[in-house]
Amino acid sequence: MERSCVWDDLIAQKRVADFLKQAATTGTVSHAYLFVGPTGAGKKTAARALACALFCDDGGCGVCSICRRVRNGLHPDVHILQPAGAATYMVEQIREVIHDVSLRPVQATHKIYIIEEADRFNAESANAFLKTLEEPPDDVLIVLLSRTFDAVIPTIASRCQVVRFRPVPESAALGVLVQRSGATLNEAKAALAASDGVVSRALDFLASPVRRQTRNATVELLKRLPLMDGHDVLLGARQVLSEAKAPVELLKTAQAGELAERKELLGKKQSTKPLEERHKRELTAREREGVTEVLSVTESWLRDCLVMSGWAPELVANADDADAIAEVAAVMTPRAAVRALESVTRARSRISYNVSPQLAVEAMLFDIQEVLRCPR
Amino acid sequence: MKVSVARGELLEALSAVSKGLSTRTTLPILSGIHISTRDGSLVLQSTDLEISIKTKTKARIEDAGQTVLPGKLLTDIVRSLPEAAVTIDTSSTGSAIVTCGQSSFTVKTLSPEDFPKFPVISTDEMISLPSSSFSKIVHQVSKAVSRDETRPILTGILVVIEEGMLRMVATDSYRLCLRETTIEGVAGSLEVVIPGRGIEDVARLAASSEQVSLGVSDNQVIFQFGETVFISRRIEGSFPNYRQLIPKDHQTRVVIDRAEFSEAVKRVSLLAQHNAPLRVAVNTADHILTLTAQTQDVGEAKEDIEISPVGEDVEIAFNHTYLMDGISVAEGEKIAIEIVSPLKPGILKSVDNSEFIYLLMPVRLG
Repeated sequence: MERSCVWDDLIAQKRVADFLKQAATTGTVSHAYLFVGPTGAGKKTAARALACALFCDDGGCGVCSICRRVRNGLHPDVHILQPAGAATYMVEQIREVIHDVSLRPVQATHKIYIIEEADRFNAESANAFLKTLEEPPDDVLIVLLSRTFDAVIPTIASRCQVVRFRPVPESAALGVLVQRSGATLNEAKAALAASDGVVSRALDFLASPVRRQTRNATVELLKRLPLMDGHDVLLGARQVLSEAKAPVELLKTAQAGELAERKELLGKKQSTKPLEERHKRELTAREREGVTEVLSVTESWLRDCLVMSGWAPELVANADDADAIAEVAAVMTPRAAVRALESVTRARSRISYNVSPQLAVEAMLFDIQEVLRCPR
Repeated sequence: MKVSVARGELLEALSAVSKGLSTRTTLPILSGIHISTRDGSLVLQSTDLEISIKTKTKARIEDAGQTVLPGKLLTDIVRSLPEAAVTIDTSSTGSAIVTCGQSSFTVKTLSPEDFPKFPVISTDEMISLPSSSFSKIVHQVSKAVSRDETRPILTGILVVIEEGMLRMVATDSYRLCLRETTIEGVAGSLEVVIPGRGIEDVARLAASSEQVSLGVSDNQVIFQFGETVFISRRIEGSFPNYRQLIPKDHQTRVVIDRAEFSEAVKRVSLLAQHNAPLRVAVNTADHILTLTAQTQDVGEAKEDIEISPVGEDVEIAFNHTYLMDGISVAEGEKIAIEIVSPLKPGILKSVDNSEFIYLLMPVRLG
């Protein structure tokens, strides 16, 4: 199709787009799909595009009122679900879905349920869902999204048609970033490195001055690291992490506002617990993301040193800091660089085991300092 | 927007639309009532995406416009006001001022653009029924509606209109209630399964108006009564063939006084705890029906009722709650009990010619 269409939203997933488009146009859409692919590969975008393609009279033009409503999440027949429990889907949530599945659609010809993080089912909610997932009424389409296939409970996975998404190649991601945010190529590269290659997160990063500030502070800290004494390193770690927390504070304020508004609307008696739980989850996710960003920046900086010392300067992600990187790379052996990178990986895994982020980052910085001082 | 409405009329309209308010926290806009002005009246809407209600009331309109106000709060405010004209003024953005006599309230508003559009549905025809008999039948049949989501179709009531007959059927697979009545002057025919909750709300709301008309589209059913339009989503699937479940003949038939039977069942049920069965034994020789119940470690109860049986002796057991439900919604002073065998469903029937059937699965005798 030459005209604009919803499938254009999907970056570098031509195979998937063609497959789903084919299914939608020939009316051979399965009752349940499991979209598997790394974060940022476009799973949710693809699910929305599929909804547009099924609902829109034009097969997903992307501009009519139906497509617009689907894209803005306002269509009454497209349900997007996220886990409501602390870490998992609650069985009540699934019961609500089961109830809705049994009713006819509101406006469209189908009902679509997009279930994010399908690896977050617990045994109870999964079991409640199985029967519906296996044999929904004819006009129901369930799309489950998950990062890996293995993390999804087998009884759920086996009831879906699996669609695999590949990671978005860097070049394609950079092109989209530059086009959508208006940033320079170097800025886009740095943003992509800080956000683990996830395009949507990189876009947020470019739009947030606070987060760019954190990234610059991290790079600055790495540059000065060899010259610092132990006390300075601790102070530096604390400063970077507190900067990484700044967006969390912004989020907290926004959440408090939302909560107050909700209380006013529904009255004091109505329970706001689900909302508070969601807020808590968002906060935890945001906090973790802040720390991850610091680690990603560190990792990409050290990787830059490695590629520079390996004579591949065109691969450097943090080009704005190329001089300092070149200086380090001149004396650093690849073995030393790998050692430093290992310390970042170690910090990541420690944090995933609930070690305090501050402690993990401090330990990592000391390790890196040692490598930088003696880069053999 | 600036309008004034008589408090009583506003409250009536508000209590009608509040049935459609959603308590789900995912979409706060659904906890609001959409208010707009049209041709000298105030139009109120609410929806929880399953049912949508729209009603209108006469109002003096100074400024046309629309807004969304928090539903529960507005209803509470209007309920507490004295009987006088209520003015709603939304001239300032983001809030509305509700005044009545000396009291005044400032309430935050929500954006009317975010409110889901009232569904526009096209139906071939609307069938009009007297609301008194409609409401009564819904009340009778709704007792048997299933609350279990595993078979969604059973959470609805089958409504059939054909050849001047109105029939409703509901079942939860333990019991089945069928009510049929002739209604004069009804033209047209339809067959539709309507969610139990929706049709019960309609029956309650429509009681104050004379007629209720209903129409069916592919995905929705629509009810109209008075100034109110009520739309509910339909349930997927088709209703089980209930005709084949109803036994054609019987071995034993007992006609019994409804009030007396009801009292006796209530008394004996006291000792049918923890789902213990209630036994019903018919002795044709002595003209006696014996109710017994027994709960282990608690005790037992027994009561005899004098009857005029036809047929053979039989002993059957039922769940007492289900039996009580059936007796309570049956009509007339006397009801008939028909039994085929202890392992086949028993039937409660009206003795007069009106068609009322309450089919009840037996409990196996231990």
